[in-house]
Amino acid sequence: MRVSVTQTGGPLGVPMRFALDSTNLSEQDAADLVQRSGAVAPAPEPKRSYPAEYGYTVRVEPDDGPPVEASYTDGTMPADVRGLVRLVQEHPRQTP
Amino acid sequence: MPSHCHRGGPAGNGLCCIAPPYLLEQLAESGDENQQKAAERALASLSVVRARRAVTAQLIADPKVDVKALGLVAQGTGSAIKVYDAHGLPFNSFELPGNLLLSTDNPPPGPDTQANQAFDGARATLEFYSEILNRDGIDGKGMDVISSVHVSDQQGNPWENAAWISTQMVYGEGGHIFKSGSLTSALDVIGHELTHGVTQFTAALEYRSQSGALNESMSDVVGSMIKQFVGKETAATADWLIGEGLLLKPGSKALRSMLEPGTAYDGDPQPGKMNDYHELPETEAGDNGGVHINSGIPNRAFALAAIKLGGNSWDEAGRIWYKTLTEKLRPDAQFADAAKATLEVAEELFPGGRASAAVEEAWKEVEVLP
Repeated sequence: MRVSVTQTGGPLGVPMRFALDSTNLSEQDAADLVQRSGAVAPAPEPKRSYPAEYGYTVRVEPDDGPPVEASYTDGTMPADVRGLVRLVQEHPRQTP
Repeated sequence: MPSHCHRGGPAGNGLCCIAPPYLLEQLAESGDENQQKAAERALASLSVVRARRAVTAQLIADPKVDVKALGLVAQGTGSAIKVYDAHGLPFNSFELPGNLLLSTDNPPPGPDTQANQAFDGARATLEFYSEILNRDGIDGKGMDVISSVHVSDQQGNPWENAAWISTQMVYGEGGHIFKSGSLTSALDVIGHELTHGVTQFTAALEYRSQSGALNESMSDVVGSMIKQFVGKETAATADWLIGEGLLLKPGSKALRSMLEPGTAYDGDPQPGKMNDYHELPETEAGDNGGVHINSGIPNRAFALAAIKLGGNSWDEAGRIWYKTLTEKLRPDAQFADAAKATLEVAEELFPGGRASAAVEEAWKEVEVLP
């Protein structure tokens, strides 16, 4: 499974991309990634509440089955998806 | 008097101005008669404030609603500046702004460096608008500028942002993307964000594709001018960098370069002319059509025009761009509309053809005008 996060907005503004591939992770981290990815479900494109609000597009590509992609803003992102995003953004074994 | 009442100072009946809700609830239940009444009033006020902020945030997000006409945005009280400590409250908390640290009546320096910087940035921005552009505050009617420092994300982690959230400024600590504590230190970033407020109250440029890039560019234009104004730099001597030294990424100069878009850091995608315009989808992943990316084109047009006109950037170019923003542009304006409007305004403000010729050359150089 591969999970990618594109973050936009903020003072920098330009998109920042992060990705994590379960094949590069320990068994425990891979299971954690798969479990957290279940929180991502298709949703309507959100609208930023203010110009510098961060936006996130999360794409989950499972080993079997179609990819799932959803977008959020800082204000609309559910807590469980935020946990997934932080995992992807801060994991030392990120893939390009 | 409970020991933590120093947070807000005394108000009537021995209660604090900013008392924790749990304390008010305790007093409402078990205080003496005066304390109970005051606590009930304060609790009612708190719930009204929270409900009002929640409704306001939703209405401001709806472009069809005129929140100013509805009286939902703070009205003028002489452009007072107030800085609060959010104590780690999330950026979207109804508890904001937090505890008052500094105000126009109690200005810096105080013990909190970020609060001092947020105050100074707001003051510099208001002074620039007042002295140079003859504008009375963000809404043009002297609304207070409220800032909260030490704001967190929704999970209580350091927030990597500084933003105008339609009613006030909020500042996080940074530490991962931005140098820790640096988000309050950049005058141009503060001026940029507060100018989103000015745009909100004037042209209301739609935050997508070219109108969104113009929205971003107008904020960079004023942010850069404020930095130059405070630093006593002319258009020729200015570095035209936005957010210089804020990024932790090694080798990065700044967030953006207005004069040389695409050179602020490795991988900077900003174009400097229309031939390099990025056609991006109006989605989050596409930066709403590249609003922070294609802003490089009008940014460069402004920098070139200011340099061609000479002197300070605000002497002529700044006044032309400001009048264009506040009087000429429609919410769906495109780059060509902005170019045409600045030419008209240049001739209105500085008749004789010299200013309009310089502005026209700049827009031609970035390939917005043929």
